[in-house]
Parts: sequence; C-alpha cells; structure tokens
Amino acid sequence: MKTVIEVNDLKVHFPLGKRRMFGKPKSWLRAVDGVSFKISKGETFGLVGESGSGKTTLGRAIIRLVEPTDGQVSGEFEGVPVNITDLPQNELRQQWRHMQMVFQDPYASLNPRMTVKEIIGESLLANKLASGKALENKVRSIAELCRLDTQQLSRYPHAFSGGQRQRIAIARALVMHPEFIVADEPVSSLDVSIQAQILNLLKDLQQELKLTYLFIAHDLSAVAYACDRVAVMYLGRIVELASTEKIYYTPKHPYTEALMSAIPDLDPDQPMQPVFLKGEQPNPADPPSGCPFHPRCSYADKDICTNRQPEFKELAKDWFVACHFAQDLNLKGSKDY
Amino acid sequence: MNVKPILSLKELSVSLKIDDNYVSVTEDVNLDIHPGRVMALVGESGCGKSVTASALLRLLPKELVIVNGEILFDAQNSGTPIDIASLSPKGREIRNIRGNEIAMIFQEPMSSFSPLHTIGNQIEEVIRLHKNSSTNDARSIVVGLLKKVGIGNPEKAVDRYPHTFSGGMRQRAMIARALSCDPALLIADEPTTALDVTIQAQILNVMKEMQSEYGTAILFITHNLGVVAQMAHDVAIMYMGRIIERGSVTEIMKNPQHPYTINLLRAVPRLGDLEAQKRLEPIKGSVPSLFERPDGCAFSPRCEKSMTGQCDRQIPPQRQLSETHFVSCFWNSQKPTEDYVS
Amino acid sequence: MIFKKKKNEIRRMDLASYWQLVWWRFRRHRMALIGGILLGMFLLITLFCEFLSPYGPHSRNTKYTQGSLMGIHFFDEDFNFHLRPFVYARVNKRDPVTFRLKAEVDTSRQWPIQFFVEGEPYKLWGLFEARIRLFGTEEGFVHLFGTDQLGRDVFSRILYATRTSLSVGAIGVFFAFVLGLIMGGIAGYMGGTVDEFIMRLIEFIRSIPTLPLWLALAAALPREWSALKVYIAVTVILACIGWTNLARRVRSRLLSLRTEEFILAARLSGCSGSRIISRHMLPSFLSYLIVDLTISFPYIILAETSLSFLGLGLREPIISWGVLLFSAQNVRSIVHMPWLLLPSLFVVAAVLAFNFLGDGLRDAADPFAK
Repeated sequence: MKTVIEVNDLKVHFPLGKRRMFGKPKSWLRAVDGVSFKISKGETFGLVGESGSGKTTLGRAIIRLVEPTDGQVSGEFEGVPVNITDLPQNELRQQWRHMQMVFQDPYASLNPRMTVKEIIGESLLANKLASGKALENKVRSIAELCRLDTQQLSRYPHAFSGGQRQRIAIARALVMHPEFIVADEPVSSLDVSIQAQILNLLKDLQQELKLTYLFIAHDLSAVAYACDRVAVMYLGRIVELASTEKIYYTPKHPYTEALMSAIPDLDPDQPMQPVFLKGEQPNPADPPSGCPFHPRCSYADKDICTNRQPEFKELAKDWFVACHFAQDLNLKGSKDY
Repeated sequence: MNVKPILSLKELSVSLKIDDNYVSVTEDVNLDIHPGRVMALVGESGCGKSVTASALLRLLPKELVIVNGEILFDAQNSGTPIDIASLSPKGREIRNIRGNEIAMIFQEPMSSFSPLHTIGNQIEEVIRLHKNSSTNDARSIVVGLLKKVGIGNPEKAVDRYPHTFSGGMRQRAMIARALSCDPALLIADEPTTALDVTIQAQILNVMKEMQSEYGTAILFITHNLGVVAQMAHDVAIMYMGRIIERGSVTEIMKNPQHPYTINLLRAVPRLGDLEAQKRLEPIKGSVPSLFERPDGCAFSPRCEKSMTGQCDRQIPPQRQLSETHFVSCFWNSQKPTEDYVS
Repeated sequence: MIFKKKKNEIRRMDLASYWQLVWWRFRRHRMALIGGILLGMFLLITLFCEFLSPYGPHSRNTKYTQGSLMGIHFFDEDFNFHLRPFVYARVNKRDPVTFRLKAEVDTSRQWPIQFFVEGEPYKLWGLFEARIRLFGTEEGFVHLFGTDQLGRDVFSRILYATRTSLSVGAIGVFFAFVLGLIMGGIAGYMGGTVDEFIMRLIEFIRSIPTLPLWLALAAALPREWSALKVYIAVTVILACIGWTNLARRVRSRLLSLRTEEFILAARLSGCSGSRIISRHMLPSFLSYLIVDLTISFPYIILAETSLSFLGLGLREPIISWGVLLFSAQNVRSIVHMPWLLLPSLFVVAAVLAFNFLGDGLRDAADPFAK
C-alpha cells in the first residue's frame, strides 16, 4: 500500500498561563508529544481518545492548521512527495488542495454570511481554478455527489439542518478533489439517524474518489464502523495502534481496555463490565513521570512504570503498543459485537 | 403490573405559544413510571423528551404551555395522586415536590452548580431546606453522600469549589445533590452525553448502585441506545412529540415493532458491521420542523412501510402487543421481527 | 390553517441573506426605530440647515432682541380657523418701570407664515447661491425659539449648530474608527509583544481622567488660531481619546474570529491573508463595528459639547450646541431668556437617539441568536 501521510515524532506544545510581558512562558502544554504513524492510500485511519487527549490538535497539526513544534509530516500527493512541515506558507496554501478537513460543528464551520454556493466554490475562486459557468458546474456536481439538493444552493446555511450542513461542509472539502481528508468528529453533533447518513456518505465518497481519511472521534462505535485501523491517544501520545478488530477485541494496552470495555452494548442481556480507571485524567501541562498512564493503571508496576517511559514499539506485525507489559497482560476487549 | 405507578402522564400535551397561535410540541404523551424502575425516554433532538421532563417539574419556559393532560404523582403510593399539571408553577406545593420528591440532574454539570459556593455548601443547603436538619448533621450527610457516589477523599471534597472538579466528578456531585433528599423520582436529562466513555461508564454504574440501594424510580432521558440497553427497565420511544412505542427494554431492543424504532436500531453503527461489510441503514430525510408536522403519523414521510391513504391521513391508534408493549402504527409486522441486537 | 403565515415566514427566512435577517430583527425594536427616525431628521437638518432655517446664524433682528418664543397659530382670538398658519405681530413698547424697550404681542395683527419664501441669500454647502428658505414671513419676522441678546434667531442658530456638532461627531468618530481599526487590527493580528504594547498604551490613555485631559489639550491650542483650525484640532483631540474603545473591540473580535472554524476552513481553501480578512473576517464583524460606532457617537458629541461649553472647544463664529450653551452660562440670561437652554434638548435627543439605535443594532447584528 502506498503511504499518503507519514508522521514522525510530531510534537505540538502550547505556551501556557499568563505570559510575563516580553518574556518566555513559564510552562508548556504538551498537546501532542511525540507521535509517529503512517496512513496508507485509501484507508480510514481512526484516532480515538478522550477529551484533552490531543487528537484534534494532532489532526490539525498534520495539515498545519496548527504549527507543529517539532517533528516531521510528509505526504505524497499525485505521486509527488512533499515535506509538509517544511513548506513555506505560500506553497502550503497550494498543497492544501490535496489535504482538506471536515470540522465537528457544522454550525460554526460554515460562514453564515455566504450562500452555500459561495461556500463550496470559495476554494476554486481563491486558487483561481475555475470561474463563471465552470465554477457553477463544478459546485453543482460536487453538491450532487454529496446528495445535496442543487435547487437550494443559493440559500444561506441557516436554512439547513445539521445533517445537511455537514454535507455542505463535506462538499466544500471535496471540491478541489483532495486526496487526504481530516474528519474531526464529523458526526458527533448529529442525531443517530443522521449520523448514519453521513457515515455512509463518507464511505461512498471514499470509494468513488479514492479518498484517505483521518477519522477523529470519541464515539467508539462510529469509529468501529468507519475505520480500518485505529490509534488510541492518551495525554498527547499514541498508546496503541492496530487494526480495528485487534483494538476492539484484543486490546494490548490497559487504557484501550478501559475504553473498549466501557462501550455500552445494545443488547440488554449483555451487561457491560467496564474496567474502571483510577482517579482523574492528569493535567496535560504536568504529565506524570514514566508511563503517563501509570497513576490510573491497575496493572502498573511501582518501579518500572513510574520511572521509565514505555517505548512505542511493534508488538506484532502492524500492531504498536506503548506499554512495558503489553506482552504479558491478558486484557478484555469490547463485549461480543 | 400490579404496583401503582409513582408517576403517570395522561395525554400530556405541551404547545409552543407564538402570539396567539399554538404549535404542538408534545401530543398525548402517556407514560407510567413505576417505583424502583428505570424508564428511558428515547428520541432524537427536538422530539420533545426534554420538554416532557421540564413539564413534569413545571419548569417550562413561558412560551411553552401545558394545553391538555394530567401529571399524576403519587410519591407515597397512597392511591390519591396529586395532579402536577394543575398546580401553580410558582406555588409552594410544586416547590416542595421539586428537589424533595422529584430531583433532576442535567447534561451540563458545569452550569448546575454556583461557582461562588463550595460543593458541600450547595448540597447542605438542599438538605436543610427540605429536611430541617442542623448544620453538623447536614455536613456529615453530605460527606456520606459524596463517598457513596465515588468521590475520593469526601471530607476534603466538601470544601472544594465546583470549578476544581472535573466533569465526571461534578456529575457525581450532582447525583449526590439529587439523592440528598431521598427523592421518590429522579429525572436524569442526558446525564452522560457530555462525558467521555470511561466516565460515562462510571456514572452509569453509580446511578445503578444508587438506584438499587435507594429504590428510586428514574426517568432517564437520552438518545444513546446503548446506554438505554444498559440502564433501563422500560423504554419509551418518542418521535415528534408522540410516544410511538413503549415496552420493556427487552421488548424494545429485541422485538421492536414500530418502523422508527427498527430504523433507529439499524442506524446505530457497531463493530460487527466492519467484518460483515454491512452498511448502516439510515432513515431517509430528517426530522421536519415543528411548524411542518406532517398530517397523520408524523413519521409517515420517512417511513418505508408507510401506506398512502392511511398513514398520511390518520394518527395511528395505540395497539397493545403484550402486558407492557404498546405501539402506535398501522403496519403490523405479523411475526416477531428479526433480532436487531444480538 | 392558522400556521400558514408562520410557514411562509420560515420559507422567506431560508432564502434571506444576512443583512435581510438583520433588518427584520431590527424592525421589531420599536425604540431603535424611533431612534433611527430621529437621527434621520438630524441628518436632514445637518444637510439642509440653510434651507430649513428662516434666518442666517449671524443676522441680527434689532427690533426683537432677547425676544421670547413665538408660537405658531392656526386659530385666532375668535376661534376662526386659518389654513395658513400665522404668528401674532410684535410691537416694541417701553417698560414704564425700567424704561427698557420690550416687545409685546399684538393680537390684532397677524403675520402669516409663507413657505418657500425668498429670504436672506445664502450659499448651500458653500456652493450654490440661493435665497429660497423653507418658511418665513413677508411682513414682520418669525423667531420660533426666540432670539438672544443680539437679536439672533435661536431656531436658526440651533439648526446650524446641529450641523457643526454632528459633523464634529462624525469626523471624530471617523478618525477614532480608523485609528481604532488600525491599532486594534495590528494588536489582534500580530499578537505577541506588539499586542501587549498597544493594550498597555490603551490602558494608560484610559486611566487619565478625561476632563482634565481635554482641558489640557484644548488649552494647548494657540488662541490666535482661526475658528476653523480650532474646529479641526478639536475633532482630532476627541478622536485621540475615542479610539481606545474601538481598538479593544476590534482586537477582541479578531482574536475570537481567528480560531473560528469557518475561518480555518477559509485558510484551508487556500485564501490569502488579505482575502480572509476582506471576504471572511470583515463582513462578520462589520455589523458589530457599526454598533460600536453608533454607541461611540454620543460620547464624542457630549465631549465636544462639554469642551465648548467650558469655552475651550469651538468658539464663535463657528456655532455648535456647546457654543450656544456657553452663552447661556450666567444666571441672568437663564432667568431672562430660558429659551437659550433649548440646545440642550437637542443634545439629549441626539444622545438618546444614538443609544436607542445602537441598542437595536446590537441585538439585530446577531440575527441567529434566539
């Protein structure tokens, strides 16, 4: 499989607290702290984790909507390799043709002062790719592809429901035929019946347009449905990365276990037996020593886990875990399904 | 069921009043909540589930009015229920019921505590208001409650301010406050929606434990079908202000009879789908606005089983399928539908 | 169906643009509409004060000095209706006690009011020679708001003063706006040390008590400057103080907009910096800026009035509301000529009108809020 995006030891640190005038900030929030993985062409790569785990920041840093502090992201679009992290701003703007994003909140991501047509066509105009009749046609065809009513393109976003707005946002992302899409919680603000429509749409578009997705979500069942591989994030690091089945059925990291066992089953006769985590999620500005998960882990070893940070290493083929005891632990997955 | 319901809604209808026009928000809601059971009220956003909950406590904003129906509340199982719908929304009686006999927890644990007082003070206040206990007693009750809902180091936690609590802890504190007066009924309005899965599991666990310990009846409002399956004894499915199907959790999850319920269950993604290469089956279209309520069955324009001339003309009557299972639909599946869950 | 109307409304809302929504929402504000109409009238006065006023601002009527208000009548003493309104004639009589000449109403004679009469010549906007005035009398004179010590028509003077005061306000607000936009824009866009510096500067300026600051600045103006120079200097002084508020708002709006998802989406669309600002950012805070402008208007007007009232701002022959009130400063003139205080009513009306309008606009600027 061809690699579309390769992330290498990516770090995003934000300055924290009230800055002293003309001075350096006192501390840093390590939103993303050394993350590496590859995304292959045509796959849907899932990124899960709880709020504050840094998954949104990671998604934005990959396409440089947020500037990374350190590390490398490289991509390969239309057969041409690009080093995304080193691009100057004007070239980056060019490359954004190949990398687009669908945001979580379809209410905040559409400019309320522009019509749907203008919203979708904006990138074609800004990049001088089309104008006039050609622009109109392109907008119309992509809107059709996203199952939008082409009669309603001159309306403003406020006339549309949440599901339709998300279709508009998807159409905008796709109008320049990008190869790589970061979908940041694309369905979490929608109702169940609409979620299914959008998830199906994303799948169909992927096949028709040979898209590669980075699918960020906290809803584990949506990720299970949509993704081929899943990475689990905790405190700015990936703790486990494997195929969806492996992650859900046979997790190797204790945090993955806690996540998966907490999914409520649709079958009332299958009561869930969640593995509870101890305490609260630590402050990302002041992560614990050693393995960042050790204070909440019920399997943690006093010496090893508190002092040594586990390596993110390949346990089996295409199965990466950051845990000292990954090999030895026998963990529960999500119930049946 | 032979036990008398603790709360019984009879044809409750709430309307939105715009100038002199009324737009139905909920229509003829019938619901019985029995002591010691968890009733889940399920539906998509805007279906009227939260409006129903606010109506129970007479906390509706002034544009929303109860136009018809009764809310019969019988905390002591005395056989002489009070009709909450007939009480004055600002009167002493309803205030006594609120918090004391019916407690409520909300989706937003952030905004339900005042940032100016400690968690302990705010829970103590509820206890003193309703139970007339002294300050010392109240404090020890609070510490006990916080311990029960799983807040670590409760003696210290009582003196902390809400903003120092995480979302999960705040939700626990809210449950503690709700249970502080030993209410007969607890209304939980999307209590875990804003929380992460691991925290959600913990909160659900706390609620289950509290429920079995105190025997409180719970009205659990949610859109998450997984949570319903795990928490509820009884389920009522709402669509555009009407309860279209209700029954025990097994009946609803394993043998749904209304096309909307069936579709809703099919639309939930699950892990098995990936291997089976299954596609989700979304419901076509979207929920119409309140002002565009379709004639007849409100679901008919989106329904695959809709029969022209009938479904789009008449509101389907309620059919009884078992002692507890009711459905409002003309379509009769004849045989038990396939098992959607396992 | 009773909800037909509501349904139509919803369909119409679907197609409406942002500015239509704003207008519909604004229309519902009765007070704001009143404010708007009042301001429209002020605008007409500002534009056409030469035409609307029966006399020039400096022409003196020696027959009627310190004259009181002259009421317009439609009915005479015998309750006969006259289609053409009139004022009663005035005759000068010597007061038997003080021996001063005093005008008295002579109800036996009427001076009918004529419209579009030829009056004193004037130059409209300093360009077009004209004589036609909206109203006047062919015989006698009409002083609706009375006259001052020198016999100048207070009504005409107030209309001329309206032009000055509002134009000082407008120019002041304009300078403040440009300054605020630039400073706020730099602070919000550059961030970091520059932002820090500008914010501290604003705090410093705002911490200076305003009245002494005006006094100091105004006192620094050379006395030998012409009235016009003073006029310009005063507006600049007012703008120098007025920009801080606007700059702060521009900055905070820019900062909050920068992280909005639709701005991020615009960046991803490949929009250049200038395109993002002009096409995506500016339209979405333009409406808020208009609100801010409306609300800062009265401050500038009040500031000018106070300065001139203290004799430190504008001075004759330029007349503003403050200059007019300056002559009403001593108790004797208020006792003898209370109508000299009439300009203050105009000040109050203008300030209220701007505030009402601003209030309505503030609400309408966000038509998506419930």
